[in-house]
Amino acid sequence: MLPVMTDLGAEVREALKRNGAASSAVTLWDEVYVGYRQGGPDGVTDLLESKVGAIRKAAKAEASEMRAAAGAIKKKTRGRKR
Amino acid sequence: MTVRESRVCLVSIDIEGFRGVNKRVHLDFGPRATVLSAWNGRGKSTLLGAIEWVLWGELRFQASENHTHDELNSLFHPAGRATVQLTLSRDGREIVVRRQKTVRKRDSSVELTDENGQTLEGAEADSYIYRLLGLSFEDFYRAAFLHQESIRGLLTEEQKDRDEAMDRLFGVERIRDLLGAIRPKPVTTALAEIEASETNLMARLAGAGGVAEDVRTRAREEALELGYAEEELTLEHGLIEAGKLQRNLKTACEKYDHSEPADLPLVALDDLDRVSRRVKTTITEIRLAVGRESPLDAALGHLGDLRRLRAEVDETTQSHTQAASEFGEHEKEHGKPQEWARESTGLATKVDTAQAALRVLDARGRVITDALEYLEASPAAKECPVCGDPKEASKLASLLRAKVQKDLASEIRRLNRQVEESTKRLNAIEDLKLARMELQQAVETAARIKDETRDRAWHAMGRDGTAGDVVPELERKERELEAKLEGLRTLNQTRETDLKTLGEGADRLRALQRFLKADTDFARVREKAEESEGGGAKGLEEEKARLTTLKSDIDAVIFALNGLASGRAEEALASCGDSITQTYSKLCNHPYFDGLKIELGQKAVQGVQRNTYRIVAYSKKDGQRTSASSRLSTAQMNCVALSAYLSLSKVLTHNLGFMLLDDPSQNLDGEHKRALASVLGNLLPSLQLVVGTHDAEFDAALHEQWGRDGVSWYDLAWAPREGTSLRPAAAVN
Repeated sequence: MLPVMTDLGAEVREALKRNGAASSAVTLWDEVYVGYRQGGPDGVTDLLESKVGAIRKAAKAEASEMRAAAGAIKKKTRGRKR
Repeated sequence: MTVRESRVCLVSIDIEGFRGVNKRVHLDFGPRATVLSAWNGRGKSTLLGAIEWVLWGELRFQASENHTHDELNSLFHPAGRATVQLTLSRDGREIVVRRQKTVRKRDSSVELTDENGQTLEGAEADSYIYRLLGLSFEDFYRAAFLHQESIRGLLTEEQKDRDEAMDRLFGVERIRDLLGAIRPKPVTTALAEIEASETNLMARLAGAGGVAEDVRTRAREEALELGYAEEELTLEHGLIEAGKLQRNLKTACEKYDHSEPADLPLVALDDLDRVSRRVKTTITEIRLAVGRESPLDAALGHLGDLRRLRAEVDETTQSHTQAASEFGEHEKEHGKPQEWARESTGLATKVDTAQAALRVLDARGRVITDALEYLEASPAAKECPVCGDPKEASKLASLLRAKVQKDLASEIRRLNRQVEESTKRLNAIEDLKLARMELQQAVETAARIKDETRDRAWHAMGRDGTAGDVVPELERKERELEAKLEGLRTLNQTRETDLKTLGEGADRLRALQRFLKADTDFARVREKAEESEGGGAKGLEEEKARLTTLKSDIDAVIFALNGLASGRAEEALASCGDSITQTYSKLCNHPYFDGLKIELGQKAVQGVQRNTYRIVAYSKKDGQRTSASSRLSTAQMNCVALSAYLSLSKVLTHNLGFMLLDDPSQNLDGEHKRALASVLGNLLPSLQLVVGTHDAEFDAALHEQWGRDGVSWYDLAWAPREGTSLRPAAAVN
């Protein structure tokens, strides 16, 4: 007989542990499953996009800092004689 | 108690205002089965859908009309309210579920009375139903509701649709959804973008480092040129110098009567620039104020005015002298007016006398002329026509002619000459009078201008009404002003020197600020470049590491989900594989491909492994295999789908003791229909069936094989506004 009311969240969590996945993967799965239950596939997509977006944002800020450091340097002529 | 009775069964249903049902319809389910027969559009699917809706609050395969799902409400119900009440039983005890929805309201309300008579509402009632049935909404379709839409995917040629339908059948739908939603590509894309950005920025930083060093070197040279010592090139020194500059600025403002600016705070590098700019601005303001109210300029202007006036006085005096001289010369040369008057009187008398003599001569001439005319007319006359003396006409005429030609003409010429000469002299005297008058006017004008100029000169010196020679006074005044100007020039020079010193101080401070800024920029660029070159936790490495971890976690989750998906499908196939083959053999009764097998595989879709299924028909005798979809007809494929569905529904663990079948005989021929009636009949001991069909042949097969014991047969009718109505069907012979 096949069970129908299975706890998918727990099943995947167990599978992750069985596969030796990192604890961050288990945490990610918990977040994904909450997202799925609350918003369906779109909820999951939004969650992952927000995660990638947050990292992108941090990278953008860092890149912007680097760009600012590089961009602040401009070739200047000698000061005008007054 | 039978197995079926220990599970949830249908007792009755009341429907009103739901989809095609307007007036209230009551239906008692047969304990073994219920068959709803009607042509299409009479409400079979609505009745079956009412069971689905009352339990779950939604219809899976019904397209939405709007966001409030008004397709669930009858168009003609007076209150616009859909009401479905379903009575279930378990272990002989009844449970009543009642759901209502009003048109233009998005949500429905549910109320449940459990076996103990306790009433539950809303989320509590939904939760109770979930526990009571022992399955989810998705599972309901693969366990208890054979809907044509749910097996349509099994009949399609499209592998993707078939895989999706099979996954749904095997309960892997949610995992499939999740696998579709968890996409690693955005992560890999972001990672690639960050790496590209990092490479680009590294190159820029390297270039900027060189420029920064160059700028720093030049700023340093400039600062040293302006007198800084190497050890003075610090912010601390700059702040001290800025403080001194601010104090000097205040002193200068005080000295040159300019409003004193408030002290700027001296803390950071930018403060040096602010002080420098403040000094420059104030210098400009002081210069502008001096320009507006300059005593030097005023004195210079006054001196210029006096010098101009002195020149004008000289010039007018000279003009007057010259005019007077010309007048004297004229008098000396041509005499005075009294002399001209005497001469004029004599000349006038002379002219009058000559003119009178001329008139006498004229009269004499006319007499002689008349006499000559007479003598010429009277050549024989012997006496003078005037005096009567005896004279011969010819002699007299000769005499008169000689007189006229000689004496008279000569006198007339003399007199005319005399008149002419006198008149000429008279005219000359008139010209002299005119010239004298003009010269006199010139003298008067020059004298007036000279006086006016002198008055202006006195006025310029502030001494209106003073008489006397103005030139020496002007010269004295000019000398005074020149002495004053010298003092003012010295003061001006001192101020300019002060302001220049201040300006140079500001330039020095600015040069120091530029160097310090260039030094900071250089240090920052070098630090960033070193961070990026060194890698580690700084720079973009941290974000790259986070993305790599996320990608790795996503891969792990996908791998786990995929393992579960394939595991579940394998388990399902292992549980019902034989049953599928047997049911297929009974239903399809294919003359050659009498065996059926579903094979599970894996396929990568957008970088994610997914279940894929191959439905293989084979000959039990020869072992020949073929893809079912390529060899079997639509009716035979429908048999395949029914076999898979019915076999799987038997092995699923849940609490439902009934199954709903909506038009299961589609595309089947008579033999297939009879076989389906038989297969379904075999389920009756363990399941309560509710079948909706428009197929008279299938209906007859069901009658034949199921009989009337425990089976309710209904015919459905439909009328506008009233909607669907039920009546027990007559027995079929």
